[in-house]
Amino acid sequence: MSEACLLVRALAHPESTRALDAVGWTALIAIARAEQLMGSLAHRLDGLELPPKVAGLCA
Amino acid sequence: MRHALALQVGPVGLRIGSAWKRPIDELRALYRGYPAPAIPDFTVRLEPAKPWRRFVKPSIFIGGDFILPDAAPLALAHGLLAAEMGMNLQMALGQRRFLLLHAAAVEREGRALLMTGVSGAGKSTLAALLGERGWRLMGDEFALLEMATGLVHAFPRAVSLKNEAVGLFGDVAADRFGPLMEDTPKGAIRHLRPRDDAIARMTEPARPALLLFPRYGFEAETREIGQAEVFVRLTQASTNYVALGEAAFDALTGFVREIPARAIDYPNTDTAVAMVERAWAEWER
Repeated sequence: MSEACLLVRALAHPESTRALDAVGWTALIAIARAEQLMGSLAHRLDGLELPPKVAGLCA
Repeated sequence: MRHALALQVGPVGLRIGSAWKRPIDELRALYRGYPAPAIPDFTVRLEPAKPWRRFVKPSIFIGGDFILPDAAPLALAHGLLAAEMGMNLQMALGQRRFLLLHAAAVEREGRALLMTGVSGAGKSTLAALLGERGWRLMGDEFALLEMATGLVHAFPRAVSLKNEAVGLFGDVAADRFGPLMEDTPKGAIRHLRPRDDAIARMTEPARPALLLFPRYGFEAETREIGQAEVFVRLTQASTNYVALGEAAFDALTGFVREIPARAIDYPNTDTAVAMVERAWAEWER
């Protein structure tokens, strides 16, 4: 899956991120920052159970 | 990213990617034994400024999550400096969990001594010297102030010694140094790895006790500084004070009210170390 698809899918279906491992999260956060969409991503992920590190980056 | 390395530095995870092998090999040697984060906070990318610059007169553009688009590229031989600047840039532009103070920090018995000042004031050199003389080096570049608790967290990346400061560490084991980089935009630079205990204790925060404003090149003198001046100088020494808003204001005013501050002018480093020790002894009384 390309990183753009990863971001699009996470924004459209936030619960799809449940399947992500550490490498997947790293890629998702990097592409979200590159596209200036980290705030939007954090908003969409709000309320989901996230790895502590990811929750910290979204806070 | 063809070559990559993940490094935990204090509470911050960094991932450094490079189009060339050499900078990553140099980083791996300098930062051997640092833990690797599973999910990093920030990514740094060392990339060719133009595609052909990977091969022809290789030059590094410092990229990553947060970038300065007009930064001048660096020569491949200065890869360690590029990586250091890339890490600093991510912290300076992207860090939101801590109030960032552009200050060196050392710790003794759980209490932190902070030193801030303009480039060339001697923060790095003093912190590195103290780190070899009984203090724990917490960082030569950033002190991370946790706003809710007032604790300072360490960011112990390798100290970048500049120009004549390189020669002050003759008694330190050679395997703790990175390669000597001549003719960088900041002069000659050589990185010094913190002592192993400083690396092992990188996640231990400390309560700040004393703030110093060292200044190199003047007659030895210690002066008191008023709280208003300390506050203004610290806002200038912070890269994310404005972005963090009211929480940063509350944390910084609390810091300034509680922590005594002194300005220290010094003509040479031995005098400076003695003055720092004296200021610390006065604080302890």
